[in-house]
Amino acid sequence: MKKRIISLVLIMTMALAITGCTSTPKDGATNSGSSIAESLTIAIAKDENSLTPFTYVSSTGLIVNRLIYDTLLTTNAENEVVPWMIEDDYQVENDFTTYTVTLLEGQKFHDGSPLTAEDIKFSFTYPATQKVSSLKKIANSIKSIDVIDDKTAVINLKNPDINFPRSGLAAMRIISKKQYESQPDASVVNESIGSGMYKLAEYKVGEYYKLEAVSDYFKGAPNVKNINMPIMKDNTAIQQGLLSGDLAAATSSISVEMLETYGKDDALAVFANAGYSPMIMNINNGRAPMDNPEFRTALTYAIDVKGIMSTLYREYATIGTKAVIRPDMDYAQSGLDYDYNVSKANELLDKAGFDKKSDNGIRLTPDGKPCNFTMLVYASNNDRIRTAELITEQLKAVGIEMTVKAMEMDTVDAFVWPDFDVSKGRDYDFAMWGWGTSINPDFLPAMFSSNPEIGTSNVCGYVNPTFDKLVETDFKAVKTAEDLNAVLKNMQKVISEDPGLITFGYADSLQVCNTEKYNGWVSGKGLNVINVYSFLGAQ
Amino acid sequence: MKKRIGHYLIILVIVIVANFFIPRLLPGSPIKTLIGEDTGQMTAEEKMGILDSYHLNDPITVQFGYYIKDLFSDDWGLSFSKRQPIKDLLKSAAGWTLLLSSVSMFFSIVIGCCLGAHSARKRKTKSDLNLILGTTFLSSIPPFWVAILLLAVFGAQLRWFPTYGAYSMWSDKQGLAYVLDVSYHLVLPVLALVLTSLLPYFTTTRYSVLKIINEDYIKMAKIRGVPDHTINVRYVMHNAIIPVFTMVMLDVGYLLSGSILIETVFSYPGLGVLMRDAVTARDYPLIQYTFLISSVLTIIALFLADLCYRKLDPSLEGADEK
Repeated sequence: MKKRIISLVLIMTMALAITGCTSTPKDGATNSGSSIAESLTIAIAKDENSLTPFTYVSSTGLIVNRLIYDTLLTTNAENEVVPWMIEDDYQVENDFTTYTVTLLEGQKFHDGSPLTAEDIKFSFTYPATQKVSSLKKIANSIKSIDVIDDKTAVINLKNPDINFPRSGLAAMRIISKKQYESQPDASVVNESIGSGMYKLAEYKVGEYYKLEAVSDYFKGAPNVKNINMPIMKDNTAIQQGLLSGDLAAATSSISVEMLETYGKDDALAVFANAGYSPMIMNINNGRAPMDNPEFRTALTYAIDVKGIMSTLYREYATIGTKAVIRPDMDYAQSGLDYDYNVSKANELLDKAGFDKKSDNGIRLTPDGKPCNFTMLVYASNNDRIRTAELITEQLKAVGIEMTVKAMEMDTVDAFVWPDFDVSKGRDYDFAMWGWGTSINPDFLPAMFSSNPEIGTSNVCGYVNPTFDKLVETDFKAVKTAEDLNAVLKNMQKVISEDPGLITFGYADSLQVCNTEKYNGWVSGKGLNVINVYSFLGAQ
Repeated sequence: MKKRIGHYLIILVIVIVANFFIPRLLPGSPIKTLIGEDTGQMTAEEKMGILDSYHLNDPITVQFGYYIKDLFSDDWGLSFSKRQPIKDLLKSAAGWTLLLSSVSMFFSIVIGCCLGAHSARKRKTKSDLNLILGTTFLSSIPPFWVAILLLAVFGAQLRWFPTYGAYSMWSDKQGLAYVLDVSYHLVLPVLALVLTSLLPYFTTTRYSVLKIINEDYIKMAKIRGVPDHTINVRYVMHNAIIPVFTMVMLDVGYLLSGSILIETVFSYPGLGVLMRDAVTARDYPLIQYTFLISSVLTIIALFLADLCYRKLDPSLEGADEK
């Protein structure tokens, strides 16, 4: 009898475990969500400190920070820069050095104090006084700001910047002069007083954030009164929270493999947003034989970029090109797709002096060393690990042996980008890598310029005098959007002919939201579903 | 006794020194944590300036001096990554880990010992074999896998238990309601830890009981007609518990090291997660003090075990004197 009971319990547990691994479709469930909600629970994947513009840690914090702090402009679902706090007819003059903005009515900070042009002036200059701030670069580009009246300010830049609306006006969070003017060190200020549609009501370290809607927000009371954000660092826990209905959404995205699971639940909807973070295979251009341009070019034929991206992401990615830039950007140069051609790769390698092979079929470099290399990859990034493994398989066909070493993030960084300073060199053969975003026009100069002051992200040690010249002369002389596009396209042509790395592409960001609890979610190009448009009330 | 205290003090000194150097042996540096995502945009001079302000460019001996000074002061400084006072972070996290670990340990000991004693008394029967197989099987499963399974089944699928947190964060429960709420959130993490840590207590108790039940004094007690219950408790378990007690005292030292994986899966705000975050961020001061707390507790536990052992088994005191 006892044996039967134990067997029954074991069978039930296994049955529950199996059913627990998939989501049960809800019979007859329909999307009956409301466009207004009293409260929503949205998981945040990291502890981002007190979420002021000077204390948040990463892009996750930036997402939530944007609900608490407004910016003069913002990016919409089409990734276009549009006015947010200011009137539509802001002026751009003097070859993109002067920007005149006028605040819309009714804006105030969460402590009740009115938001004026003085706060704009302070916001754009204060970060320059800080030792550390992600906003310092913007502040350092400011020559002067004139306050014309309570609502109007004129921002004068030191140098023309055609991209300032995106890189400056849409990035600088407006802070309270009253709060910060007597604080020499912004990083010790923990009280979050913004002018955004939500105020930070409570933050418990390591546990949660509570956001409360600003009922008299100048664009209308938000549709969700309270947003509760538990800090959940484990993706599996977030997934289970979404499936159980404990969570309405999360700041993090899901993997393609989970699409079917979520798709079975009528209460959940998956939002696929175009991603702007490229996945890249870094090549150490300063180390033999990777310093040989023909060797690097051969690799671009030996690796099936399209095949790998399709395997990993199915249709949820944009395939990369030799131009590096996302192919649907305005200034992307067309016709620079990768061509997977093993014969061509072998031919190029033979011609470049890699024609001899060892007994086990591994090519030898011109100075007789076997082509055995190491690929570094973050142990926490499954997609990059899988990509590295697929690359390893493909390179065998051209006689190159690769060993994948998955290591902790900071350890990989220490080899690829020591002290985050490209002038300190690098110590790796190959590395799977990525960048946060590629939208800004200075992305290519930062990636490929051999001048360490410009090429601050040149972790491959890429050197190309033609490219450097384009950066030093044409790029700096840009006066119009057309000039900028032309220069950027030329840069792309140069780096495609002399590749320093391989760009696999841009994975879409897949986010799951519970549309039964709330159906006002808005997603868009490069826009996380947790954004101002998702909660914007009627104007 | 003085000699013993001296030994433990030496160990403590070694731990204090080692805790300073261990974080600095990790590849990388705290620069990314201190500056944030725009680290690559800063010039080398700016980065050096940041490191200087945190004394990270000072000679190692000077940095060690600051560490010792802060250690014995009331101010352990701010965490690089959390920008909060380290003492506050540790106090909060330690409380939750202590709760989770001590409850798990209690149930592991009680259930493990009971099953071990039962298995020993039913030696070579099916019951004994099932228990050995069952506990071995459970202990061979990685704890995080058990945790995820429990979360998926009892949390997400059946919705019997919450899927995250140490308490209901969005309701303001007080008093008994709060205690019950915390207990409710403890169920799944404790279950995951207990299931995967039964084996050591089970096998130790089983072996210990097996050794004792064949002793002459047990046989004599049975012959004298001492009731079974009294034999089991006062004769068998009283002696069998000594090796288990050693294990318990060793495990007490790990009470505050936390279970990183269990805490991560259940979003439990304990020391395990704090330590993991500190290591990931190369948050030197936070690493130093979380490791120190854990190490000091282990030393104290060993010292107490040493003292209590002699009370439990007076024959050891005599051996010590000799």
